[in-house]
Amino acid sequence: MAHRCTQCSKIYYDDTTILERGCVCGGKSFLLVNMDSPVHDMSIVASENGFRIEVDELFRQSGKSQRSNTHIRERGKYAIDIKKEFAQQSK
Amino acid sequence: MWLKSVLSKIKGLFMRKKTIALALYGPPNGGKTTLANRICSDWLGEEMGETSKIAHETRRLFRKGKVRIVHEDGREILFTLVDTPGIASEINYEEFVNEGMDEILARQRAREAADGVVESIGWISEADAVVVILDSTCEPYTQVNELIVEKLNELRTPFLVVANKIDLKKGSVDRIQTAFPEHSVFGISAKYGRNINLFYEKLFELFERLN
Repeated sequence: MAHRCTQCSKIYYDDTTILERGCVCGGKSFLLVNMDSPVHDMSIVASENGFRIEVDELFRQSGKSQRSNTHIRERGKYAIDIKKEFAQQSK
Repeated sequence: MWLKSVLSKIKGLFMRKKTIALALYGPPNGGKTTLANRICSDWLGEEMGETSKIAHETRRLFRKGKVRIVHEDGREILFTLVDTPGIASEINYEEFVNEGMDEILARQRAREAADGVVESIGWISEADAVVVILDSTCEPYTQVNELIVEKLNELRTPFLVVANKIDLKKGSVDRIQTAFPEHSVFGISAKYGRNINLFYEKLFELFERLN
């Protein structure tokens, strides 16, 4: 999994290095990004070494990209854009 | 002559009509699984799924094949019954915790319910006919109800609107009928079987619209 800086959105593919030195912009908070899926709201599941690591639970579970209309407000709280979901359906 | 008969049989094999999928749609806790259980108990002698007073008990699609309903006049309909997870735009694990559920299980239930909503909506275009089940004790003017009916109209999928839980004091068919004036809403109690024969009658009418 890659990491995305929450401050400047720069994506790092080597997560071990980035946790040690932080982002070039000075940012210390990163999102774990599933590159196969569009990025959306994620939930905080761990905090270590001063860095915040956030994981999209649905992506972590499914690893698929079909959940782009589901937003995680926090762990266990989901908002689903049902209007978009319905709009994507056709015979 | 025999050649014609053989060709007809071969044609019959390849042109066989697929089984009709009758899906139950609606918001959570409207009574979809209770109705599915009622139909399956009446015609198959077995239930379909678990029910609960806590919302989102059904979190994935359930199918029951070869449900055959026979009318007293001899007509019959055969279909696959599909029970779908209730559709909601917000799912909050705290709602389940408030009902006495363990927090970890509640979070898991919420995640599965969110998946279920997406699966449910994703399947709507696959249904050949739909029964929209609404809780007659609740306010029907919701985004969920509106979107379900709107999509079914757009897909030209024949559907019934059923007001469930009429056995409850607060239950009102009129409340649902007012929200859907273009549809002939009728009330049932899936739990106690009230008006269930009327429901089966309406189901036959619904299937006639498929032909």
